[in-house]
Amino acid sequence: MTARRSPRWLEFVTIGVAAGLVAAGCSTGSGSDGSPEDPFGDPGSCTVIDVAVSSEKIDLMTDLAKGFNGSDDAEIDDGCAFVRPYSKASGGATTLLADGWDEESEGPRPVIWSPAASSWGQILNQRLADDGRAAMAASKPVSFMLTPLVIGMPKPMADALGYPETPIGWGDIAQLATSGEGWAAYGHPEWGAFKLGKTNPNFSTSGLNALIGQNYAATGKSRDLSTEDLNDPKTKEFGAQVESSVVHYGDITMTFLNNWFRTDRSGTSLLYASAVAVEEKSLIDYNKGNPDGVLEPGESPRKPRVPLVAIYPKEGTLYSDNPLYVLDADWVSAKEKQGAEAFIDVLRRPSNQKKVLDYGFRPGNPDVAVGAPITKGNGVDPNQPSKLLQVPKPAVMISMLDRWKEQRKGARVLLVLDVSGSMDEPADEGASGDTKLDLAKRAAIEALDEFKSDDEVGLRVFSTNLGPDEDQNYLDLLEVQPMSTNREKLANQIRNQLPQNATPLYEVTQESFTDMAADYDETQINAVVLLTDGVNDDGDPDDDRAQLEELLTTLRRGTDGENAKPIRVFTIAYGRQADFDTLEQIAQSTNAAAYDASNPATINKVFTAVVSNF
Amino acid sequence: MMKSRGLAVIGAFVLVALAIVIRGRLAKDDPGSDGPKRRDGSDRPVVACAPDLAAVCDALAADGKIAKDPPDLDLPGAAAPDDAIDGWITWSPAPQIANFVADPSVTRRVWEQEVEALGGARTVVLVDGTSVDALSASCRSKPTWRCLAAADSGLAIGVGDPATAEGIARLAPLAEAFADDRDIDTIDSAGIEDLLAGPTVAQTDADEMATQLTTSPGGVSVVVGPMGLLTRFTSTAQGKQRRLTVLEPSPKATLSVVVAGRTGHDLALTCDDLPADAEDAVTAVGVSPCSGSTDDGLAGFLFQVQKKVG
Repeated sequence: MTARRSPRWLEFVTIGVAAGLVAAGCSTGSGSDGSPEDPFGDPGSCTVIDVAVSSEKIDLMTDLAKGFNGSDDAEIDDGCAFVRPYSKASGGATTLLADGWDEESEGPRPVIWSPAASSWGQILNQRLADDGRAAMAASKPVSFMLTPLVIGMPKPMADALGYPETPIGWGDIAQLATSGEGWAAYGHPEWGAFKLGKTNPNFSTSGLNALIGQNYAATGKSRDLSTEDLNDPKTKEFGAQVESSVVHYGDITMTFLNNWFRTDRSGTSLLYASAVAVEEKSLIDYNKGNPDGVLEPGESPRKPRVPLVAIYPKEGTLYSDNPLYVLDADWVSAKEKQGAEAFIDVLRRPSNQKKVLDYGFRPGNPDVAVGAPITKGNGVDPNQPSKLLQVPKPAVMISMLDRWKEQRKGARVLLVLDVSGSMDEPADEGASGDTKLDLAKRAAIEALDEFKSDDEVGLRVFSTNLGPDEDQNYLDLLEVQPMSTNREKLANQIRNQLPQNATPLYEVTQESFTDMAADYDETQINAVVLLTDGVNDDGDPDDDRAQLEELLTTLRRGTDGENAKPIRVFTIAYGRQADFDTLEQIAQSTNAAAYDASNPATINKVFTAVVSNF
Repeated sequence: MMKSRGLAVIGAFVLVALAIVIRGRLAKDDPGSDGPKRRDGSDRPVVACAPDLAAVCDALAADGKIAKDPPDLDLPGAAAPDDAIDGWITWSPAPQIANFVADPSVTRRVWEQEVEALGGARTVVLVDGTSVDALSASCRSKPTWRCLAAADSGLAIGVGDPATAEGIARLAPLAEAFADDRDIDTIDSAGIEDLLAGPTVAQTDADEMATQLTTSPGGVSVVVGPMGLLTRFTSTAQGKQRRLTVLEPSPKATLSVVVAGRTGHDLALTCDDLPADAEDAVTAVGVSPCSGSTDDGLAGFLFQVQKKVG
């Protein structure tokens, strides 16, 4: 289920998991099959049709592209078309198309763009229009498959709420989130407080659709959501109530599903999260035992002990309609358009629409029946949803996204940066002359912009022989304080760092976790962001194993349990020598996520993805 | 002296020749003159199509009946179309509505009053299983347009965008239900606006809305459109799963695809000229080729409706 991204693979096909994470990945994410080979081979003299698709359908599109390439259907005037899909998160692709797509770092510019939902196309066009530029996304794209947003909930919890006999919606979520009793009100004090998993709406379609749903629920409307509605204090209060129960955010729902799946084994899944806003397709994958929708070679699905139930919000929901945009962009030639249209025609055929079902999506072609795996046995209801919400106007959506940045749950974060001697190594083989530390500093400083003013952020650096007496393994350069006062100081402190000595990884992780737990604030997301380029090296290798065991035990004890004070440790494995496997264990022990920046050039994107958790 | 006289004669010849060439060029560029004038260099008529009927124009162009690359034309632009356009294939009564838009007194028509019907169908509604039950309860055994339009029916009705030729044609029977005998002074425009705002999906063409009703229900519960198109959805796999049914509310209403000639232009395109591919394209939008009728009294009423509901 978890896969470290292969750098060579990433050089060829930009299969990532988050907002433009080309060569980076999150251990709990999905999107890449981890294959070291280019799955499409040599296009020869055919016209290449690059297709940027949202991560949850990359396997399906790869399958369909392989069937298309080399077939009679791929023959176009005086030649042939060769389709090459790659994964690009919807929100990230929207930003790249609006702000400029750098092919060197992001891979080829797409001819076809298929985000998870057409709302991204509208947002793109609005951003372009705001900039005085022409639309790139057609107003009526072909939608080739569908999946609705649902609230995924462990079955015992849904049963406790009386679902499906008692309809449930965002209003109930807001009420549960602010209830002092939590699950005790439903006879289950052992489940603790209500906890919600929700992705960052600037990156993820399910996060965006959940945000639209909760705003409609606040107003009681199902259409014509306006900026006036967003300004209404009642809407803001409703939003604050829902956000207050959030475990953490993030760029992909698979982080939540993977954490749920792992804690399911230890019987603590009900304590990790009570509900997650996900697409129906992802919930089916989870219940089939494949939470990230990607089966690694040799991996077989294992059904969870506690399955999830799809709750179709009573206030209404939205479909991810998976549009296929042949981009109206200056880099798309007439021949590429012709090839793109040939591929889209093939996708709509009943035989291929049946494949769509195999992957848990609902067919967009009416001639193909909705059937297994969209069944009650998999926790979903093919007869739902019974009510849809209108996609708000693009300007309203942009306003909603801007407001969310200030309305989201606050974060209390300790940045822990490795300043060991190896950070002085060149970042790449190019002529830039940048060291790994140079790139990491720049990325960390840039990521600071994503924190809001009342987020609290501190800075700790670690290596051996630090401090005036050269006897410390870490230094606290800035206490965890509001960004309103810390932002500039943080940037300056990060900028001043120099490479030092060894890497006392386990000690600093243990101390950071313990220190953050001491000042745990239940109204915020409490987290450590740990970046390191090496393995634990504190001068005494003999006790490394015991040290790691002790660390993992501490992390698990602090994270699980009814009265836990969860501090999420998000780890970044930086450079090729980083100990990704250990960092993944650390992250998983706290139900967070490990990120792979083995290619230092990707550190900017990785930092952006990490900070999307807040 | 002889030399200069000779040069003068040659110069005169050159000037005459040049004048002939220039006149010829000007004549070619003048759309009102005889001879080739089309963008594709042929003498075939330029016929535009409503966007949802583009396939009809494409088939006619491919068959050489009309000029290549036929343009799209919908109601918003039909009151002042491009000078080169000789005809318009659209939904009735869009050409007459465009005439009202261009000149409410209709003393100067953009499009000929007489149009040729290329296809027609009865106007029906596609309803999902749940809504059929609701409709049966509120409309009893025989649904009427008036009953369907009643605010308490609680149905989200897809009628299309009334700014388009296709949308205003589909809205017609429901709009009539909101007025007494097409008397615009009695029309309940707020009722029509509420009806248009019923679905949470956009009011678009019948094919798209019927697809949404079939594959992603919850945004629209009833779709108005031509019988040939909507009946098709009842026999799709998902249509059967959702118990889709076609009902024909009373009084009977029809939808017609017509070709309207541009006033002052010489367009001779009739139903008999439709090649097989064009007939297929007409059939694809749900109407039977070479049938259909027009209702001369409807255009003025719908023109007023359009003005009221924007």
